Amino acid sequence: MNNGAARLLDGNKAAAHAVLLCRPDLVAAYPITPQTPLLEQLYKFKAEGRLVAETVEVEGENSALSAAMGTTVAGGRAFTATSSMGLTFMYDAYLFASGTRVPVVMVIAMREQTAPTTVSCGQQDLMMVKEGGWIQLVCESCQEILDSIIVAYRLAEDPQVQLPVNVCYEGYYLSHLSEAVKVPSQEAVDQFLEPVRANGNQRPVLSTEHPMTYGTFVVGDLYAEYRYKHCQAMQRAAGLLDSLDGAFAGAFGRSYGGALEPYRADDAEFLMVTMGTASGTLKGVVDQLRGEGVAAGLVRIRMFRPFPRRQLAELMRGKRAVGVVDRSVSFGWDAGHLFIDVKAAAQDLERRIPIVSFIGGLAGTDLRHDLLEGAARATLARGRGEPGEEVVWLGLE
Amino acid sequence: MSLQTVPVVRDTLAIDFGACPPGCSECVKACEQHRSVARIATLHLPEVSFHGAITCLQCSEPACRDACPTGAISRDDAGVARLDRGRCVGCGACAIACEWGGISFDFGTIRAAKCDTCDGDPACARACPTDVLRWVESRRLFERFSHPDPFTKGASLCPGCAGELGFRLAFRVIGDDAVVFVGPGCACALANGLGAEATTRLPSAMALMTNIPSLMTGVARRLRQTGKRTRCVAFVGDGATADVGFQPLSGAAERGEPIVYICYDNEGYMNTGVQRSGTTSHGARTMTSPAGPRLKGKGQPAKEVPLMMAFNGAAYVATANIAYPEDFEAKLRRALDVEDGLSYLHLYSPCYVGWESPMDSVLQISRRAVETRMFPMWEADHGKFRITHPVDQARPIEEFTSLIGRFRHLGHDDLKMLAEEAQARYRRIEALCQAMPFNGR
Amino acid sequence: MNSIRQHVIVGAGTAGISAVEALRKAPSDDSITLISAESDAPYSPTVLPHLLAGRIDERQVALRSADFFDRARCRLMLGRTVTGLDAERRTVSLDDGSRVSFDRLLLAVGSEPLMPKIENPDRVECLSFTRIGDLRTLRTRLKRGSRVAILGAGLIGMELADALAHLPLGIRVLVVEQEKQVLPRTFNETLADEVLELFQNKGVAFALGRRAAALEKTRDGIAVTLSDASAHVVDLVVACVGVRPRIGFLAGSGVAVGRGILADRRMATNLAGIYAAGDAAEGFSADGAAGCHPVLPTAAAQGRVAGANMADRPAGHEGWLPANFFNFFGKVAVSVGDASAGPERESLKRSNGAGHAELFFEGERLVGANFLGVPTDPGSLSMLIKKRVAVKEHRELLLNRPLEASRWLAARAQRGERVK
Ligand SMILES: Cc1cc2nc3c(=O)[nH]c(=O)nc-3n(C[C@H](O)[C@H](O)[C@H](O)COP(=O)(O)OP(=O)(O)OC[C@H]3O[C@@H](n4cnc5c(N)ncnc54)[C@H](O)[C@@H]3O)c2cc1C
Repeated sequence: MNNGAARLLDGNKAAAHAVLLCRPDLVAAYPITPQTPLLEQLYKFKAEGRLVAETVEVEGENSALSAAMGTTVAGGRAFTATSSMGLTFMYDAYLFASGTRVPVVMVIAMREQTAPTTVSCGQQDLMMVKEGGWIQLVCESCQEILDSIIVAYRLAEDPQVQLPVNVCYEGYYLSHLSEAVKVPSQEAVDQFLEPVRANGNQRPVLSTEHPMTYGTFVVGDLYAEYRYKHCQAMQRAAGLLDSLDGAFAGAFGRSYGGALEPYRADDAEFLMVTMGTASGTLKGVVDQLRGEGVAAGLVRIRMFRPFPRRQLAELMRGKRAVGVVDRSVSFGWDAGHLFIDVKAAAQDLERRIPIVSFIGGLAGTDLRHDLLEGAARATLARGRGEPGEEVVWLGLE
Repeated sequence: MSLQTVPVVRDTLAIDFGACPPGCSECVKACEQHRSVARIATLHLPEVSFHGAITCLQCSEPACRDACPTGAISRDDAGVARLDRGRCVGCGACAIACEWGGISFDFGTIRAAKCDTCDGDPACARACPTDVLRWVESRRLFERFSHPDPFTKGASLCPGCAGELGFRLAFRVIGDDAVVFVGPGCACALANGLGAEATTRLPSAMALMTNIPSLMTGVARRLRQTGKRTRCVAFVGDGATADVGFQPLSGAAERGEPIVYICYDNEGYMNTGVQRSGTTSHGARTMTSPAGPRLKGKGQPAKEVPLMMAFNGAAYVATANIAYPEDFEAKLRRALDVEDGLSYLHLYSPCYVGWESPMDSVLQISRRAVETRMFPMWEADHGKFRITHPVDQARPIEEFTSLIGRFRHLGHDDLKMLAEEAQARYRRIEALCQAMPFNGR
Repeated sequence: MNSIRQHVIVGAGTAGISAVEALRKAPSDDSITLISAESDAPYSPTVLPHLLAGRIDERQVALRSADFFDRARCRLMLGRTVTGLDAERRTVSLDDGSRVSFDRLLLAVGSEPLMPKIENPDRVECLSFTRIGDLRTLRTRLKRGSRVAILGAGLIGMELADALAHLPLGIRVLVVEQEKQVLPRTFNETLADEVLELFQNKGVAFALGRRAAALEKTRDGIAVTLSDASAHVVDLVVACVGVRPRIGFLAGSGVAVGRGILADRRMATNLAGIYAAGDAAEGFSADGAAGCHPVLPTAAAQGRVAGANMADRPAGHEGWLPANFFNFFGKVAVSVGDASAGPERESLKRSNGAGHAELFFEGERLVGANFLGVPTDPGSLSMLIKKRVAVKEHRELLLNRPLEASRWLAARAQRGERVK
């Protein structure tokens, strides 16, 4: 097994290494904080001759994704990355990419959304595109970033899926903080992810040999068929991620549990649910409470879209309460975005349980241990029948 | 006889006006010999160094026919206006009505005579010792557009659409080794199929208003990577070109992407029901630049996108016009040759629906746009400029605006302003040609 | 835009027929009805002198073949006179009491002859010469050696005199004209004198500078007494003192009339959907002056414009310019524009035994020209004048080689581009 040599890399660099290993044919991105160092690292690789991809210094994010789409529909493999306002600036291309089933991979180095303007961490940008028809993976560590990008291409390009994939990680917390990351060898990656061949690996491709119409105009029933097939492909992607997780573990010795990662969840009295880096701290909280004899548990959502609602419902069954920690807000729901999904998934349970929304860590503020411990204890209290707020803003005076 | 049956493109006697060798009158002699009375004339004016031949242009609405009091002139199914000399009384009405020097009045017999092309085998052209007189068969003209039309016949835009004509002609030049790109707009009806039905045999893509050149960038780069020479060609309206989609176009030009971008400029958002765009002419009324007591149509002159492109890094920029298909063809070929950067063609494409003009008027409007200097014809090849169709004396602006309903509300002063703007536009191009002259490629 | 319309055209002359051509330029399912007061196949009165002189016969003067009207899907109603117009109900009424409905109407009824103010106590028959019926009457009256007085030496009078002089019947013609020259307002004196001489050489007599004051029946004919009290006995009197638009039947219809039916440049009258063209219309000259201009090219152009507008193809009449073309005994006389002297004007003349040419300039541009016996191109000259092309630089060339030079200059201006 080749699980790779360990190097000290921040999340952006880890992503850049992953991109390099995936042998893209084109990289197109537009600088935006906190994604920029990823872009710079790729150009460094290009200057060193290690990255042989075409690079396009686009004049905006919409063009970045569009150029990546262009190469992908012409049979190649392309990569792009963005954050925050860059993501919303490319929104029309974003929807076009999924609607036309273009298997492109894009990193979102997650950041708050203007206004007020800030460049700090948050998951709000991802929430702006959660209904965009993409597969969305959210990482917890720099290693997971690297691994997820490699898996993302397998997922995207699978003939059963044919959908674009976002690999998301929190700005600064992951993008700029370094960890030991194992970088696998090119041979190992080539074995896991077949390099693109000239024929586009048998995908339908815009070429004169087999002319096709891309982005056709559709009315009525056919439109519904497109949508239906898109939804089906999303569901297949959920299943595929689980099996790819196994295959990846076989090849590289690392596994993330597929669509979600339960932590001491099975026998828990209550569960905390979150996405991204907060799960690290929450694991500590769980451990602490367990030490006190409280059966706390955690579920980290890895695959935000398609949402693993059945697996999550399974894990929630028999629990007394669920606390959801969000780094985002839904204005209309006055709660966190993940909270909404968890609450909807809980509808499948036989018994109603209290579900609490904890909003915190906005604009890069720290989701400290004490804050999350408070959240966990509040959830427990609700589970034991005590009254409490449904929505709690952590650390807001 | 006329009336609907006359084909639009006809065989024709082409005259390179003013290119005759001094003193040569072989055509006149040949015509006299074959037809007893010459129906072609030579104008030899050594005083002004002019030597040219002139004859009937076979107008589609011949004024001579309408003025003839004996019905002696009629237009046949081939589009040729014929004179039955036996019915001519020599009243001269035809010679007064024709302002093109097309009636050869015989002052000896005092009867009119006029060219009828010798039924398609004109003696004059055979006798011409140079290339000045040529019998051009429309078939030949179309040989320039030698590839089969890649779009299905049923798929079409409004009858008489200039854009559709340009689109089909363009790909008869470009051929099959191309990927065609359109945006959401009129042209997508031709290129992008409907549902599961394709409307072209070419690979084609309908992108967004905002990303056509970028999508092309990705495709073009990939095609090159795999060693293909397939060209990526966009045929996109002015809205997606000049307004919401200008950013990616500007980016692609600056980066030197080797793509061919044709903007068919119908001066407005026509597919959404005629709203103003950045290229809508000053004063033109649209649904979002209406005319009324407080508004006079669009309040600003049009963006000069081709000029913007010429200064935005495009390797080759040209304006083209569907009324000048050979010129369009030549520019398109040049655009396809250029591989070291973006080629941008700005194709003037009046939309008679949005311009409130008759269905059959787009070619006439296109021609008048050039002749009034509203639409200068030029090219810039790697920074060298030239006017490809010089207009020494602009025709009065009314000859253009009177064909177009969306200018109808404009008064004399408004038209004067339009005319002045047109002159300024033309002179600007002239100045560029002087500053950065074209000395061949 | 796509609803089917009923177009009705009253008058089957040059203006009416041109409108049919223009209406059918673009395909449509609109219907066209063409009404003419005369039962002859549509013709132009221009042919009358030529018919009389025998240059052509009646079977050869139909403006269009029957086949044309079939193909144009144009319903012909011949021998029906329109007597009134109800603009509100959108119908025209006919002499047989029936009505024809229209959505769009063109009034192309031509002109009618003016009658001179003249004492005529005996009610002597005074013929006119503007319709084919007049020609037929004249023919039955003409005998070998007939003496004919033509009142008026204008366009029609001179054409008639020319035709009569050509007939091998020994007809003696006297032309009476109140102005001191023939063809006043068409040719200047010099050329008019030349023309006069041509006629006199063929035996046509003229009484210039005099009016016909009275007609009386005498034993051996009709005595025509002139304003100078001289009397001339003839067999026939033909009044050729001019024409005026035929507008009588429009009284009370609401259609605005001046001298003729008032029309704008689109040939639209004051009433929506109602157009006028040809001799009947009072349109605009190239200079923008309102007025009537009863000649063929104007009727044709106005008819074409009216037809195009009726078919929703916007068009405008650029305005007429006087232009005349005569063949007098083998000599061609041409006048274009305003060939008269004036304070701001310069003229240029050339004259020799064979021909005369005279050009008039105002500033840089040509404003008028007269030619006699010199080949020229009246259409090209008209274009140069109408479009106000600056040509003075080439005036010598234009004077000496009017045919070639006018075509060259016009082509240059027409094409709006550099001519090599
Ligand atoms: C003798 C003569 C010689 C001429 N020579 C020349 C010449 O050499 N060059 C030149 O340019 N011009 C010449 N003209 C003038 C020229 O013929 C007219 O300008 C031209 O014919 C006008 O065309 P129009 O269509 O307006 O009218 P017309 O051709 O006169 O047609 C009028 C039509 O209206 C019909 N009509 C009239 N009243 C009614 C009604 N109430 N109901 C129904 N139908 C009606 C008539 O029957 C006719 O069909 C000459 C005219 C005459 C009389």
